[in-house]
Amino acid sequence: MTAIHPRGPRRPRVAPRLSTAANTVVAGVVALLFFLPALWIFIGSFRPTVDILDSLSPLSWDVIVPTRVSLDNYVSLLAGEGFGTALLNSLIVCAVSVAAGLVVSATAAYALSVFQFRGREFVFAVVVISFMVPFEAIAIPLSQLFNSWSLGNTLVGLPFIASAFSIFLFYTFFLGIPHEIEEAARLDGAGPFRTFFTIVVPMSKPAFATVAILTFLAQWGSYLWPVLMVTDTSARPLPLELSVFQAAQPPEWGSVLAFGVIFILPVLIVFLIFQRWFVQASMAGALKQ
Amino acid sequence: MSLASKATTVVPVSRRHHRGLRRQAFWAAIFLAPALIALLVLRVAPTISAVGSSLYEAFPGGLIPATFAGFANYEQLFADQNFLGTIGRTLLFNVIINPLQIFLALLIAVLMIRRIKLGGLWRTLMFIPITVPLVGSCIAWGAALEPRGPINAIISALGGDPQPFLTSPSQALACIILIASWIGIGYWMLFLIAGLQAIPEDIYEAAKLDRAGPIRTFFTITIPLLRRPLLFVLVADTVANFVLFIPVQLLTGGGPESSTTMLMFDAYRTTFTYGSRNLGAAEVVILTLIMLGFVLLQFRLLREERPSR
Repeated sequence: MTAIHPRGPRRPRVAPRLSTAANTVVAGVVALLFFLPALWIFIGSFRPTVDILDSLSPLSWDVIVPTRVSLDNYVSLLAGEGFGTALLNSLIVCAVSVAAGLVVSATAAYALSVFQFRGREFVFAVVVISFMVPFEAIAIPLSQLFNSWSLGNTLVGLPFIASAFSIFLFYTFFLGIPHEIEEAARLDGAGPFRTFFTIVVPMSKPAFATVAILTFLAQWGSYLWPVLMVTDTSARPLPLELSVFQAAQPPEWGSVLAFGVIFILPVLIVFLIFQRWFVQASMAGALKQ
Repeated sequence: MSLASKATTVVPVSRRHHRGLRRQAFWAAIFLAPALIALLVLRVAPTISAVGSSLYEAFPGGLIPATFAGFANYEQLFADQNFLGTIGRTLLFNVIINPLQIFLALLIAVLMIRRIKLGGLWRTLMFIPITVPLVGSCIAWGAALEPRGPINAIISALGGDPQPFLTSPSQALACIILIASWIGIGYWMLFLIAGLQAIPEDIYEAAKLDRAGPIRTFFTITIPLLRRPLLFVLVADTVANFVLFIPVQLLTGGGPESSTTMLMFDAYRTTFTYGSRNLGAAEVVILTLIMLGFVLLQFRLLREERPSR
């Protein structure tokens, strides 16, 4: 993303300075409104369960500034059985999704952006439109098919593979690679496979990294598909395990919030590191001219 | 432009071109194979299976083999007041949540790109909810909206009466809109900020010289110039919210009194909870057809923006 342009005249006058102050106040209030719930989750994860909901009335600074702080929630969560298995399951499923998603999307996008063949526009439309229909819409019949193929309750059945967005992102990126480079490789006697793997892939690291991150984020938070596919406790990924945790009676809010924090943390770290770049990536192909 | 037409060779261009095209079609097929297989298995097969299943009738439990019933399932659905209510609720939910999210996202985006102090900090705080997966946010909001939770504590402290929120038929859907928007507004704002920054600065300077106030500038310059990103974001948001499932399944189970039962959850409940697979399949087909309509619109918008080689 380019730098934010300052709007308005260059010479500071009284009125613009006043409006800057007013805008800052409004922006700050709005931002805090969005941020406070996240802060509440984070702080709650360090409190004993009884304090999370009971310390609220009458309302005091206790909501944000905890009086009793402990790591007990995290200790009991990590010592429990379900969490470790779910974490491992999530990591495996995410790794497979990312690897498979990169292969499927990149090869398809390469075929559509580089090769000339009859019906190319049609294939492009069919592939992109089919994958644009949200997965949720056909998830129920798909899960019935997968279960009839005995993929239920296995990690094999869990990964997402292709997304229209990934294909589109690669497609846009590959269009930007100068023809001459591929042409030179071809004249050197390299076949399409070698050209793709030794020339195009190394040149497209940013696209691969973007798709890998976006696929990881989508898979990490995926909930509907595990709900449809998994009944065994041993095959649950994190989001499903979290929902089971939450459904416990009485709810252990402390552990639930600690679980939430560990669940959110990888995404948050990825996002904060790549914030600028992530914004740019989300926009690629979709809105940039 | 094709690779073949660029090659320098003595072979007549037309023949060379023709052979090159066939060779390219061959390689394109090989490179497309993984995606096409994924397409067949993940999209075509379940769609055919849903359409097929929706044309049959069976008793829950599956002891008696299903019999062909034509459009009987669809007729039954559209004669059912509950199902019509579900469709109406799904539409109402989308008519409210999508313009609401996009409008607020646009307002905040306009604010965030103005000259403000600590702009980077405020933007980062705004973006933090985006990183929270929906499951996590639903569970946290579920706790926050508990009868004795912090939201009610704030309302009490301000002198109001505690509200039932998710347990009230008149408030549950609004709560789901709130939960989905906590993430959605920041997310769609990302796209709108990029669109706003693509508007050339001198247009605003010209408006200023014409003594146009901020509100007039917003409606006569910002909105018209942002038409395409706005439309794209609105359609994409609708596609996402039409199949919203997690908050309903986790927090309300479609209730209280069906007040949060929407099409996606209803298809799930009909299929699994009530065990009516064929009726559920008909709902999936209806949902998929609606989604396809939105996606075609979205695809056309994407196409307009697509770079050409």
